[in-house]
Amino acid sequence: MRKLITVYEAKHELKHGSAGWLRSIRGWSMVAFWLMTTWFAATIIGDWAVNGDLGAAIDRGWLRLRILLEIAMAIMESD
Amino acid sequence: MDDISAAQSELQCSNCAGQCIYDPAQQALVCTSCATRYGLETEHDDRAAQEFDFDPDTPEDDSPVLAETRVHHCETCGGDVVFVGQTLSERCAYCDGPVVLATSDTGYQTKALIPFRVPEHDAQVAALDWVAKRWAAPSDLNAVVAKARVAGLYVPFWTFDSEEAVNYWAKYKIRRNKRTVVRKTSGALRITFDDLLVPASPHITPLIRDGILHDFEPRRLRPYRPGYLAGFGAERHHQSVAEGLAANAEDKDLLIRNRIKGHLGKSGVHDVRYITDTSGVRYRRILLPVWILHYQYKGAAMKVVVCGMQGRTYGERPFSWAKLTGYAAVLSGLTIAFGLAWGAGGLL
Repeated sequence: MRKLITVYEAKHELKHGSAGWLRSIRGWSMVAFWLMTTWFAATIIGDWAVNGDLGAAIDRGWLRLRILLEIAMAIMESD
Repeated sequence: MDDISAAQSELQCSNCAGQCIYDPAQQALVCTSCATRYGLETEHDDRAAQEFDFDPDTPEDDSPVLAETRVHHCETCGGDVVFVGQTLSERCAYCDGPVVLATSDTGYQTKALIPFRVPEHDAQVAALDWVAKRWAAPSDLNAVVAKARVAGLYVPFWTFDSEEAVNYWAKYKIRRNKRTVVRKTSGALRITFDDLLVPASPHITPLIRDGILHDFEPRRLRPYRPGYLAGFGAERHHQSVAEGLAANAEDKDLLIRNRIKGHLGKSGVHDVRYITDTSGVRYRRILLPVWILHYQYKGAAMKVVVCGMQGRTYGERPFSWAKLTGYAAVLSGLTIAFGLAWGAGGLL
């Protein structure tokens, strides 16, 4: 949460392209990873709660996880 | 700053012999007794923006000089602040620590400065407004900061120009048939740095500089005159040009690496190496006006800095761990609810 606020303040208050701005926004992908991990775990639990089969919910989550990993790699490369 | 008596005569009102101080609102010296206004403009004002060449292979001809002046040496942070005219504070302008008075200081002669344009009241409002807009700040922070006052100070800065002929080598990633492949690349580019502002004081961090100084206008520079400092503190330049360039090396490295990534225009760029041939180094040794508001929060000394030219504000602030936890819980809760609904809906 602290990183999210630091990035928000840097985007709005620091001179874009400056050394301080580059340092402050570095590492913003941590916020995205945290949200993606939380969301992914919740989708498995949601699926399990409705269908009552944890193994099947995890199996269905594999494709979702692969897509998330692709997104995570793209985010990491642009950070 | 170099001669107390000469400075004092410039600050004495010729009308009533009262003391003059520089008024940012009027952009002139104003007598505190009879309010007579004295402009500080000269016919040489346009020369203040002049830059000086620096050749790293020849000895610097700019040497420090011992000047008789009133110096407040801070026993807490080691800062040296000089005053012309009336001394307004017995505390350090940087850290609010106790100061001891000295009568001389060895430093480099300042070439030019940009006078204050933002009055104290506006700076105080801007500082308090900045603090009030902080997310996840402790609830009592506004009350703590409201008790503090801003102090006007001229801070030493460099401006550096240089031409960089950069040769670089880097790696980048591409996706090929569902596999990530690492490729090597190399190239060359020229970078021109123009008026790169570098703090010549350890008290203004590069982060605060990037928060308050978005636009630097050399046309606003004026030749150094003690009158501009009347009513404010000032720190003298204590760095040689080589020391100033060394202080900026880390920032310049970061900027060059960022330009290289932009020049490549590819994603997944990493392992960037480069060599640069620097030429055409030019510099200015200047003073820039800032208002600094000091406050202490739970024993930690912090400051909010307002640019004395445009009023931009940036500073240091504490976080409330309770609020951070609360915000994190709300954001996580929303993400979990979205995820649960997604999973329950049988979506991908």
